[in-house]
Amino acid sequence: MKKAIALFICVLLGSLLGYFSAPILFMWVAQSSEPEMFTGSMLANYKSSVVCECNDRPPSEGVKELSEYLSILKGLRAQNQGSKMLAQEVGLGSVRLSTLESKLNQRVQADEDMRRGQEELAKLGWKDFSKAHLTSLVSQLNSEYKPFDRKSKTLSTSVTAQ
Amino acid sequence: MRIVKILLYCVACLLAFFTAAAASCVIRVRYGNLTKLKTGMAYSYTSLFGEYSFLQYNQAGGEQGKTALLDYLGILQKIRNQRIPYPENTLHRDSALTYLRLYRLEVTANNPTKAEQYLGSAQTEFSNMGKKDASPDSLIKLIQTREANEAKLYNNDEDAAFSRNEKKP
Repeated sequence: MKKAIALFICVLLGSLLGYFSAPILFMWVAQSSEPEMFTGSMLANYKSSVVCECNDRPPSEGVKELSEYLSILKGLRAQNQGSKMLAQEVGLGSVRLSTLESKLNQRVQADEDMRRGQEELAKLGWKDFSKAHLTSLVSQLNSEYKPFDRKSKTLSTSVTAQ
Repeated sequence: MRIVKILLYCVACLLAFFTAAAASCVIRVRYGNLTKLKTGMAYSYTSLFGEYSFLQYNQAGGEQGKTALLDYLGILQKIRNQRIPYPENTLHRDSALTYLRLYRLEVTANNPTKAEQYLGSAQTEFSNMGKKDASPDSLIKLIQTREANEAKLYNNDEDAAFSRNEKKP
């Protein structure tokens, strides 16, 4: 009887371990089998939290978060230099950073980041990379990010509604 | 003999422990909420890449836009091929819109044959998602209207959409 109980406890403990370790194992499998999708999804989630204009956070905090986001992007880009998506993200991130720095009256830094953003986007073939256009574009893009909501209103595909 | 029995029993316990762990892990991954995690991952990734491809199309156009849109189509196709749980209609809709954007770029580049092919692919995608009117004319009108709206939003341009080459292939 004791042996049966001990065996049952082993099965129970094993089941609990398997159940709770499944997400970790899943993430590990996803990361190794689909590294691009895994990194992309992590980046997308991180981006929406940084870009979202829903937190009423002060610009100084926004600058800090965006700088961290940009350094992550640059790290990823160093590993994947041909990625145009990362190049675009770096470009737009620099423009976003520049607009926040302008709000904080950090003119020199703002101009420098805007110039960096313009350079990146010009290399990607963007036709209009003037400061006014990029500022307005980024403002429009930021407004489409909602908390815990995937952007879908204008950029993605509400074709059937039309 | 007794020691051997105890050892065998310990091995049996360990075996039961690991078998139960593996089984519950597999069951949770296969049938539990973790399938939603994979869908969420695919959703986030396509949202990020969709924005990139749209901006390349909308802001750069030409070859840059085409490359980005084709890469985006590749990702949608990959999701389809790998049977990642993903709303079928969303896949059809995203693919159809991407084909229509490619159609517009090919019209502008004066490649009527390719433009026609992309329009046909868009029609197929729309038909698969059950859209009643998927005629070429209605789809052309749809993408033109959409482009006009996008031009207002992302280019501050009232006439941008219609300044492109409007002729049909």
